[in-house]
Amino acid sequence: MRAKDITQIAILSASLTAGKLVLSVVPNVEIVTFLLITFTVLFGFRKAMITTLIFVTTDVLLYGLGTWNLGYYFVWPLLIIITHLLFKISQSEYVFASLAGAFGLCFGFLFAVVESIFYGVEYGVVYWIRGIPFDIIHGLSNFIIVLILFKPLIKTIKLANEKMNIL
Amino acid sequence: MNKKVVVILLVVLVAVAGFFAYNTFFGPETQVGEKEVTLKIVVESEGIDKTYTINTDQELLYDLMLEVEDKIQAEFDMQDFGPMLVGLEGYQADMTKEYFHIKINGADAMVGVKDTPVIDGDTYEFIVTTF
Repeated sequence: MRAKDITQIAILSASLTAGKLVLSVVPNVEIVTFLLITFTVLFGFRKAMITTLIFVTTDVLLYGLGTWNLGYYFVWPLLIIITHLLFKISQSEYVFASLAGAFGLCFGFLFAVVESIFYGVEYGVVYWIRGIPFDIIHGLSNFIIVLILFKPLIKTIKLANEKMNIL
Repeated sequence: MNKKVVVILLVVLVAVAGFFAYNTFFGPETQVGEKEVTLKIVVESEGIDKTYTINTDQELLYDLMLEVEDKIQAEFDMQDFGPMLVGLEGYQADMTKEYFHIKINGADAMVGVKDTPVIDGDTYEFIVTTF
């Protein structure tokens, strides 16, 4: 791995953490999903995956180790894998917006699976059902954010790349 | 109209329908009318062990606790997920190591006070528990 790649991954991870912190005041509205999809499309599977793992580990350092951030080690890489597979089929912002929306809707369910391992299936089911209103907000906001911002960000980074060779 | 705006409006409508469906199928099943319930508060470290029998029309435990807030000295901390019980009987739980564990008729509550229906004859226990 070149020094440029290491620097890139560091900046991408930092932008994820900063993006998460900035929007942490708004419940269930986040740009991590949007950034991860964009990073996978622009920087490729390998860099996006390393970035994700660093981001989640930074979360552990910031907030301490809990079942919720153990879940992050599972759900965010899953998003990278699905984005990578989808990118081979389509590059439409509608496809990625739908992925982001579906991911937000399923977020509580995915965490419920992880919580079930620690606290039992009954707890997992309650955890998921009580969180459905939050999942709806999460899915809706993800869809809108990706639909509006995906193309402009891709275009901006590609323009910057022409001048500074950042990719 | 811009295609994206139309799509977003449609998705917002679907989300609103989703909320409606959730409240219809998964909202707490409340009981209206006069009810008699028991509130039991235990803080072992402070020697607090109080029991109140309360007559109420409230449908949710959170509203009931607000109704008798002065009597039980209930304090809540508003979190993203709703109100979190942090104090009772003048005792504030040290949230770094303890919390108010809620039991309904002796069984652990699966949801918070905002989602717990008040049912006639039920006993609600609030026990300071360390983790």
